[in-house]
Amino acid sequence: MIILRIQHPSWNSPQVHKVENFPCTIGRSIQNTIVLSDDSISAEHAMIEKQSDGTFILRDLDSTNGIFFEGKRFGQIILRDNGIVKCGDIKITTLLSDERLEKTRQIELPAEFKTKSQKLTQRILLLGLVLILQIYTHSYLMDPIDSEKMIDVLISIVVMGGLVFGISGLAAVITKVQHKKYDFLKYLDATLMTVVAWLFFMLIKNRVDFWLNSNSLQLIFNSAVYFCFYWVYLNKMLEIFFEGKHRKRVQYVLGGLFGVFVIFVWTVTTFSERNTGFNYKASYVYTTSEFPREKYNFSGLDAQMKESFTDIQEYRSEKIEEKEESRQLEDSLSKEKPE
Amino acid sequence: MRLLLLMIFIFSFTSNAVEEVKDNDILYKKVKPYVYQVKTSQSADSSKASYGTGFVVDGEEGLMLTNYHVVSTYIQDEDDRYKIFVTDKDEVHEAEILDFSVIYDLALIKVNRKFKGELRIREKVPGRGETIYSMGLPKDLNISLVEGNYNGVIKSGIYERILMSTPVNSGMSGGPTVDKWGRVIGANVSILLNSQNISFSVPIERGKELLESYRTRKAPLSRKQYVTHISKQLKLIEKELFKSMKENPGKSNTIGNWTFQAPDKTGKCWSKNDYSDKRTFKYSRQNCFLQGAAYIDSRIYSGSYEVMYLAVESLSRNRFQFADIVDTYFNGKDYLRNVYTRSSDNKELTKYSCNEGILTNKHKLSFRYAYCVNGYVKYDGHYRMYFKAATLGDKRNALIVKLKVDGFSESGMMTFLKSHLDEIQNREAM
Repeated sequence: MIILRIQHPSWNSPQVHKVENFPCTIGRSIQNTIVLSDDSISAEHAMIEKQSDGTFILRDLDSTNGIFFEGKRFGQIILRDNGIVKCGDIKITTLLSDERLEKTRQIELPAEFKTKSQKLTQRILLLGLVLILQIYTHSYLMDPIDSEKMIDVLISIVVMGGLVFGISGLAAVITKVQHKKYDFLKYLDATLMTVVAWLFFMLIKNRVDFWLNSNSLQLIFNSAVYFCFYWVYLNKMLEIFFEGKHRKRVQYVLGGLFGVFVIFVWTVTTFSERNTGFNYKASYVYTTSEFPREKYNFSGLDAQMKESFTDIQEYRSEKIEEKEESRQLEDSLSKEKPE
Repeated sequence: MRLLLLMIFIFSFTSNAVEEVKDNDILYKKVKPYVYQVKTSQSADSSKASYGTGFVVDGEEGLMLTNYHVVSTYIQDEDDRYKIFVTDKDEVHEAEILDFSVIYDLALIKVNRKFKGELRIREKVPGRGETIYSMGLPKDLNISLVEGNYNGVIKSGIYERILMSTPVNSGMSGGPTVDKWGRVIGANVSILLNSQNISFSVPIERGKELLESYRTRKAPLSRKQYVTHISKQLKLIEKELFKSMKENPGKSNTIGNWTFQAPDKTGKCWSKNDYSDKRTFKYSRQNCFLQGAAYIDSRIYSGSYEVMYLAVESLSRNRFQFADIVDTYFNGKDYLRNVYTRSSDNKELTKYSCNEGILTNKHKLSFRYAYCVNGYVKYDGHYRMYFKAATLGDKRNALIVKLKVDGFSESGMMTFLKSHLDEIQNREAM
């Protein structure tokens, strides 16, 4: 006789089962000895057999998500006392020793785990939060909201969510890490988390952009904000694709690289944009300090213009050279200009 | 009764002096022998690179007037691939450039043949409302005569155009504008886009000047001289524009809380005041521009400027929401009329050089500004600039200034900028 302590991630407390008759089958189908109705469990997932030497074996019945021991997938696992095996998402602690068995008493607790509909309600609430946040962000920072803007906001949420969801799903299909509908709600989680994080960060970022007047301070702050945003997103994505120790390692390496990359890209794009596109945010126009005429008169502009004119002379000679080259090329080809 | 008799007398007297053409078909027959198609192409029978119309002003010498923009392909082509031809139904004659003016969009050409006489030039300025006719080959079809009215001369800076109500089409450029006696009063030049038959013609006096300057000089311009010739004219335009700004200073204008000075009385200003959809803010905009620019080639117009002032006032927006609107107006689509050609794919213009900064004008108003400036590859010392600046009065008021200047020199640019920015004041601060 063995005792199984079954723990689902969303349950508050484990369920304890006494198994006395072998073989004992585990699966989603109602014909099994132990029925676990979870998406990660196959119809006939695994089977516990008693060997002739008295040991117990957990055997995989060609299940989709397999059985795991210490993070590795096996075809069959010899059960140990107080050992933990995993079927899909469900953790099963096996208790074998007789001493323990005597001490263990099965107490029937009300099964307090969230049902599917409860999970959905949770997510709908989260979605509502996103919506409110988005509306607030938009109306506070840009325009007072009206019905037309509302539709825009809804569309943007759907598009944003859809994009993250779609990309995650596609990645899953390509990498075959997660199969079929296995915990697809995790993607939804990632999506919602991303959107919420993004909105919060935008809100904070814009506020700070508005009040900070120094470029370097802005740069540091913005980099930090962008980094945090991507960090949250990255973590959520990693949760889907990696398990256990691997995840930690990959997280640190990728996170580090990604952080550096984000700051680099952001810096380059922001600064080059401001120099060539000569656009800047109106908030930069708000000045927190005075600009005395003695220091900020036309001579500054004069000097800048002079510099620009010398630049243009350079560009001009470049262009003339270019022209000369293309003319020589044309001459050598002696092609007629098409009309 | 006596008045009526007198009028009839005057009319019969004038008709004695010059034969009045009774019907349009007679006028057509009278003018047509002096109107030819002018085209630029690689050889006499190859397809056209550009075409327009020209008319004879000196039959003996074979001198014709046409628009500069009709022959600009030839003038601008440094490789000498094109030639100018004057075509009739039967004959094609090569022509050479004697002189041209980018200011008035005129070119004097000489054809290697003699014409029987020439079109007579009208000395007296026509009266407003007088019936006039334009002749030319619209869209490369037949020589056509179209009727319209003379509505006076529009002067803006150095530029001068006769305002007509003639339905002129492309291809008729360079054709003569004649009165009902068949005397030339101008050369068709352009139409106003998106208008109903608003067209322009260059006064013939400008053509006469071109003719006289050639006659005194006696030598045609050589290809090497073209660039300096245009450069000289651009300098003249700039000088005249500044002179005009000094002589006809624009009046002081007010939009919102801001006062400023319009550049030139002879220019035109448009303004618009409006509320936003939900009345969360209001704005007033004023555009002032010069009526005219020098056409240099199909990708460059020069010798012109435009100024836009935009005042935005918040009614029920918080600072963030207001900043958003100012941001949109500052960086978004601007309302300057002239097409701001992209320089990256334009061989005639250099790359932009841009910069930004903060300046305080003499009324202690601080601006955040940004500008981009580039130059003409061929015409050294002439630049184009796009300048924009923004300032905020208090939390609820903002002013955005956008200036666009084409073809000015280095010092001219600075003078222009200074004179405009220094005049801006905030009424509340006064």
